[in-house]
Amino acid sequence: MSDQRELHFGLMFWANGTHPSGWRMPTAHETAPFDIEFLQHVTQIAERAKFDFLFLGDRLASDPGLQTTNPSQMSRLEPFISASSLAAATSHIGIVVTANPTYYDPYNLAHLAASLDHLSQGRASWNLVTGADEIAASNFSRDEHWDTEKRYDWADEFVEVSRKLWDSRDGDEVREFKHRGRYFSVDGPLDVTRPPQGHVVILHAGMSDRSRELGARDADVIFAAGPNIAAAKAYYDDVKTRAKTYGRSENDIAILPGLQVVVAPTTEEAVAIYDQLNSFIKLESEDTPEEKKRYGALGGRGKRNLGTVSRVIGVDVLGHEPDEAVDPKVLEEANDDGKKLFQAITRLTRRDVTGSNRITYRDLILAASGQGGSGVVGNPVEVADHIQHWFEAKACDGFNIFPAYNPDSVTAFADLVVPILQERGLYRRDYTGPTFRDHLGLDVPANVLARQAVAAE
Amino acid sequence: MSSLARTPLKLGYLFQPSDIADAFDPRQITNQACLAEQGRFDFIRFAERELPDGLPRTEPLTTASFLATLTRDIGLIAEAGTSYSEPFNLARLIASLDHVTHGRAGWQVSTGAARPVQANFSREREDAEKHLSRAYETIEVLRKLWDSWEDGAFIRDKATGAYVDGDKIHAIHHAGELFRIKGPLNVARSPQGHAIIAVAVNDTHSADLAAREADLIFLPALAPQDLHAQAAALRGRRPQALIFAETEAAADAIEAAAETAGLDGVNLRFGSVGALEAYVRVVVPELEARGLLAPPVSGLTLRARLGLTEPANRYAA
Repeated sequence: MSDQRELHFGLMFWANGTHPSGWRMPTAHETAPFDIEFLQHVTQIAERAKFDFLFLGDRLASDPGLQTTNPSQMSRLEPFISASSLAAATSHIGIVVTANPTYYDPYNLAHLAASLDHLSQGRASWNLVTGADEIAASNFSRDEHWDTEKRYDWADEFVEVSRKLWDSRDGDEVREFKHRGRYFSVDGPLDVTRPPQGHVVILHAGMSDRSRELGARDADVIFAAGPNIAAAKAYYDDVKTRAKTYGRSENDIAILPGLQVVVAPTTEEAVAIYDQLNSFIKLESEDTPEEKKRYGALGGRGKRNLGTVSRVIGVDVLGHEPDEAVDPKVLEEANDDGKKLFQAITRLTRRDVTGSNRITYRDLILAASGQGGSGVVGNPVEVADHIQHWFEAKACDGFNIFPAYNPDSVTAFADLVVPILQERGLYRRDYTGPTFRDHLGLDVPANVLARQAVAAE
Repeated sequence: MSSLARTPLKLGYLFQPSDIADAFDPRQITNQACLAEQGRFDFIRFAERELPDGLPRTEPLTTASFLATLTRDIGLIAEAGTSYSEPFNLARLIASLDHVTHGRAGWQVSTGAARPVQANFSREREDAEKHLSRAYETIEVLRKLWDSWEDGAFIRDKATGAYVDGDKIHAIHHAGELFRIKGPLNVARSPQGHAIIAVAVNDTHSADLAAREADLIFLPALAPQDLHAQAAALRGRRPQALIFAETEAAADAIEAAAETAGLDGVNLRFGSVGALEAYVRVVVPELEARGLLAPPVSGLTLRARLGLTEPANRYAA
């Protein structure tokens, strides 16, 4: 990687959009999850905008209950299958497949990933998740969801075995190995020759200590949560410091927080789109006494109602109408979390508790229940400024862009924001090479089995 | 076959990389698939690497998916094993392949009995019966998962915000000897309902598997009389399946397979892409002249192309 830092962008692709109601926007393509030609079309838009990668999320269990919170997560094409078809319609963009080692065998996963890397001519990537979704266990003949320690112990060895498998056929040469570990016993070789990238690019996300270690040691890209710039910077510094203890340089890992972008030619238009998206979110009835007790004990987010607002901000606001403007006294009396919530709403909607453009109780409900509370909303310059500010503060190396709805959110970012960042010299005008590693400025890694053979001599 | 109007044969093409460089070159892979489509094959088969010393190659399911939008009409049949895969993973890979191909997907079932690769999967060698029972239960689970979303499960009404009809999405609650799987799948029911299931018969175990589950049964290259006997026996056990055997890629050999052995189709393999090109140029017109090749049709699922019936959804009211 050169000394000149350059922004990196991923596109977090849930076919129905990352906003829970994105699919209900008038121009959204609501049958997107199983429409491979549409997925190819969106990937081509991202490729024209020189994105580093398209990111296919995944979830290993389905539940009709998700339809109001995240319909995209109910059902979709299997990521390796999507990715292979997307590779056929594109030539440069990296393609990230989410796969959970907890429910895979290393040979099968290494086989699929290596094959994808060949078919895409060096654009494959594996987003290693260990599965926070407990329900998945019931689809895999498991009695219980493994705890964090076991999931990460398993994942650590899984990555080690995967790399050996990728390295086990170097051109015509078969490199023998016999892996005998705590969980896996694998003889190799893989039925696929070494992938064009050597090892497919590894992505990882997570805030826990084990996750940070795995990311610092094994990941090329880290997909981080970034609630605010201070937290993002602390995370960034921590992971890059940990990486050095594994002999890796700061530039070997790109840290990309997620960022939902709502952009339009003017601020007013962007806020109007944002409000329209949120207008489709259904509010919920007030809590029963039973629920009050439960959520009260958790002290956290609950249903989309004023009871949740009251708990989060520490002020009783029950009984108001959703469209009613919030009384300035509520802000005065709100606790610190509540004050932060008001600030977030103002940042996104430009509304306040005074003046003619007022925050409503509906705004508070959505923010307090964890929806519509993050990201950036604005005109192209405002969005570019936000990105530049985080990037230059070294809170990130770029962003994983969350398109609220498809394809318009992708097109808007590509057409309105990307040219500004290119003009400012922060972002590539073209790809410098055909592989995902090229976009990241990473070399093809040495063959781990060749290295062992040399060491043994 | 004695009728005057001949029943055209179905034709299967076995994908074969010519050398290790071609095996991993997506342009060569695409070229071969497009040639096979041009040669009016009903399907291409993507096999796993032959043991012990076959050429390495790209994984069959991802290869078929890569070709999904680069081809239009030809069926894409990928080999995948049941012995070392989680049924939930297999179910969604295959159902998804059926979606991206718009209903042109097939799955050739292999088991660890024929592919002893346990050393790659932290497992001990097991006897053929064990592999077979795992295959049966895997297929049972896959069929249930493929039915877990009814065809009308999606509402996607922008005005009301109703995305799905929960009554048309079914947990499968499978509790068998080997697997406990709750479901539903996280993939919508695919265009063919269930992808086409193919089984290659090499011994009594694979014959049992074919007789129980196959839509397509593949026999090895044998003399026409031997094929006739094998095909007749299998037809008795599995009347709804189509039976194919491997023959030489010449018009007389193909005609003999149909006339003498009474097969529904033939599987062809070629030594090189050049041989495939020659076949397309020379043999295809000859087969057409002899009435052995169906007229070209577009826009069909593999199931419709082969004249096989759609499976009913076990959960639909």
